[in-house]
Amino acid sequence: MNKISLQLYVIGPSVFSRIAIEHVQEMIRQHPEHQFQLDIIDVLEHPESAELNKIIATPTLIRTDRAPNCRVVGDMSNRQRLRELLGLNHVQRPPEKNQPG
Amino acid sequence: MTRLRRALSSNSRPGELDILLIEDDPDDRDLLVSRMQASQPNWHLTTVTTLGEALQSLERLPLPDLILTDLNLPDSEGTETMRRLRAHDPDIPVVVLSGMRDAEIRAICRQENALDFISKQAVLASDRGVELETRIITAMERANAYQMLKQVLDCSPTGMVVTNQEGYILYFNASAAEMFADSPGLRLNYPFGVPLAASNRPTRIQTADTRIIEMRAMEMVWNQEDCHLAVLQDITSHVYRELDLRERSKELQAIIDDQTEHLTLARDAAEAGSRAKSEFLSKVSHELRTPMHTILGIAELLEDKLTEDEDREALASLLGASDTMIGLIDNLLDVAQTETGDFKLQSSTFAPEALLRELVGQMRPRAERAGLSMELALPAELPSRVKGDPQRLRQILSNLIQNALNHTVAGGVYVSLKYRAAGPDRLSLLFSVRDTGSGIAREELPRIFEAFHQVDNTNTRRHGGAGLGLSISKRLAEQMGGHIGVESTPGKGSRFWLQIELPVLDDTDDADEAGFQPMHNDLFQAPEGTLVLLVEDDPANQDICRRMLQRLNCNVVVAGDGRRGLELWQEAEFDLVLMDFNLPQMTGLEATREIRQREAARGLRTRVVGLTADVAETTFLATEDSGMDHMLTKPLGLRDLAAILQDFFSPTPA
Repeated sequence: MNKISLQLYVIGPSVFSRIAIEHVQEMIRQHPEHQFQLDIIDVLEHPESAELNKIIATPTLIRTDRAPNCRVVGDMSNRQRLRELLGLNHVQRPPEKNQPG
Repeated sequence: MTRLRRALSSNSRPGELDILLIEDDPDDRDLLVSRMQASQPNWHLTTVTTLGEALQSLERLPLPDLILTDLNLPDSEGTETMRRLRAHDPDIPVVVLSGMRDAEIRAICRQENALDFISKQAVLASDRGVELETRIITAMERANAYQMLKQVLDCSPTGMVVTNQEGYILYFNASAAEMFADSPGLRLNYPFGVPLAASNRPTRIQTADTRIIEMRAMEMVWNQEDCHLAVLQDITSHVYRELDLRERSKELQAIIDDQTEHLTLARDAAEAGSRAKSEFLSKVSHELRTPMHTILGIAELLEDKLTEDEDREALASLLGASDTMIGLIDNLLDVAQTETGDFKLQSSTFAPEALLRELVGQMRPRAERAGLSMELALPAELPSRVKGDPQRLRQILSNLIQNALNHTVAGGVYVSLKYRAAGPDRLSLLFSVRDTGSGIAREELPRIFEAFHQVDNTNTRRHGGAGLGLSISKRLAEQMGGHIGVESTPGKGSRFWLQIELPVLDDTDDADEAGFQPMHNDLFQAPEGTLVLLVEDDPANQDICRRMLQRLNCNVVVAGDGRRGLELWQEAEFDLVLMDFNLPQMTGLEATREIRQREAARGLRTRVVGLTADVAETTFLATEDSGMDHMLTKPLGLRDLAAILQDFFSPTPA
């Protein structure tokens, strides 16, 4: 099984950042069937990384282990939606199969 | 804005239209030009063959009203062509010419926001010229409508970003561009991300320059494609105002906490100060009692020795002054003790009416000297004897009577007692002291029982006292579970009353009423050969006590400390031991316990009477635990001592 690589972009040690991180970590805990690699990137500390990945707003979560990268911005507590968008509901399918548009 | 005005103006003159045609195929280009020039002579056509030339032309010349372009050019292909044109000016209206199949071109046009696409094959068919022009005009109308809508949307303070299913930006308005002005900013086809928010409430996101944006997320259809719409509100200033308020409220709270702490400390300090004052008062009172003991003791002993009337009068004055002094000290001590909470009540049996008779008898000479009458009204059927603290009750009534005498110039003081049953074994007693004095103003009544309060401070001298009597009386009454009160008519007089409930004692019980026998001359004389051991370290007190005991017909042996006392007790058979409490070597308490222990072997019990200047100790020492039979408080009164001896040695009970 491929490792799912996630990048979570946040800004500073704010309450927004903390909440987003907690929600994503909780989502990861709810999917023990997957292996996750979660990188938390502070936009203020790594502006070059934010620039490179064109991070417009935070919190932004990007799944980077496949193309095209899927990215979401906003409320990470909406787990059902997050799972859909990250394609976590369809992991049992062959990896080359496209996500529903 | 400029473009909108231009589009509208060209709309008002439908003949005029600037068109930039980008087409690399010379045949197609010539055909299109000749076709349009033939039917629309007012359209100004600029023709280029590559994207590079087109971009140069856009730099150099005024912007055209419309770009008509092939997508596949020598220097650019398909989507790329659209994007590079858009990069030059995102709002420029583009109509696509293409030889590709409809489905593909339609997809690109939709994705890249082209106004329309026209199939070259269809246009170049000779009889379809009209269609080309109609579609260009329609495209211009759409461009105008789009520009008007765009202007409205750009005027809105609400930011809007439309993304496709992958989160790439298809549209954004001016407010959104302003919110994300910082790098990298909003651009078409940049990845904004799929906006995520609960359907019914907004979520908060942050921009690269830490602005706080409230975002609502919606689903919508845009150019026949399912899209995401993010509706954005910059709430940075609200949030900071909120944070600022919260910060300020925290600061205020800190100030309040700080002040509360100060107040608490101040209160604690004040309480400690008040306690210290009470303790100081208590100590000073004790210190004052000791020399008074000496003065009073010697004066009482002198009474028998003086024969000259003049001397006896002088002695009477001395005794009177001493009594007053002791009374004042006792009052101070009472105040201190009720304040520190050291105050204890004692319990013995007494007859209320006897107490009153004695008290009134004592006060009557003073009343007569002042030209006042003093009367006592007792119920026809006298109450039973009761159990309580007669000394304290007497103190209260004495205060009330003295207060009445102090404030009355003419007329008299009338004391009465009433009672009723208050349960099977209890009596409710009502003592009343009425005077014909100046009375008390209504506004003064509530404060009359406050400490150090006198109705008229200028009268202090005439009335005497420190204004403590009523205050102490009230506290004592409350300690005994009673009530004290006053009613008064200014100019006519006052009536103070004391109501108290006490348990009744069986009438057949023999109680000690010796305490109310006032006459010195009838002092009890101990049986011949009564031997008393006095254990006392203070030489002056030794002397007084010895003399008093001798006056009461006792033989006295004196010991200076507890250990010596114990030795002497071992050597002889004493009828009574007077044991001071504070002794060097061995305290009175230890000595007494030792005596009790040794006695147990000897089988003969000696009476032990404790002596203390500390009133608070008497309660504890009066318990069986101490081994003492009785406690006497210093300064020792001759009469008190006589009463104890009578109690112990009288052949028949009083």
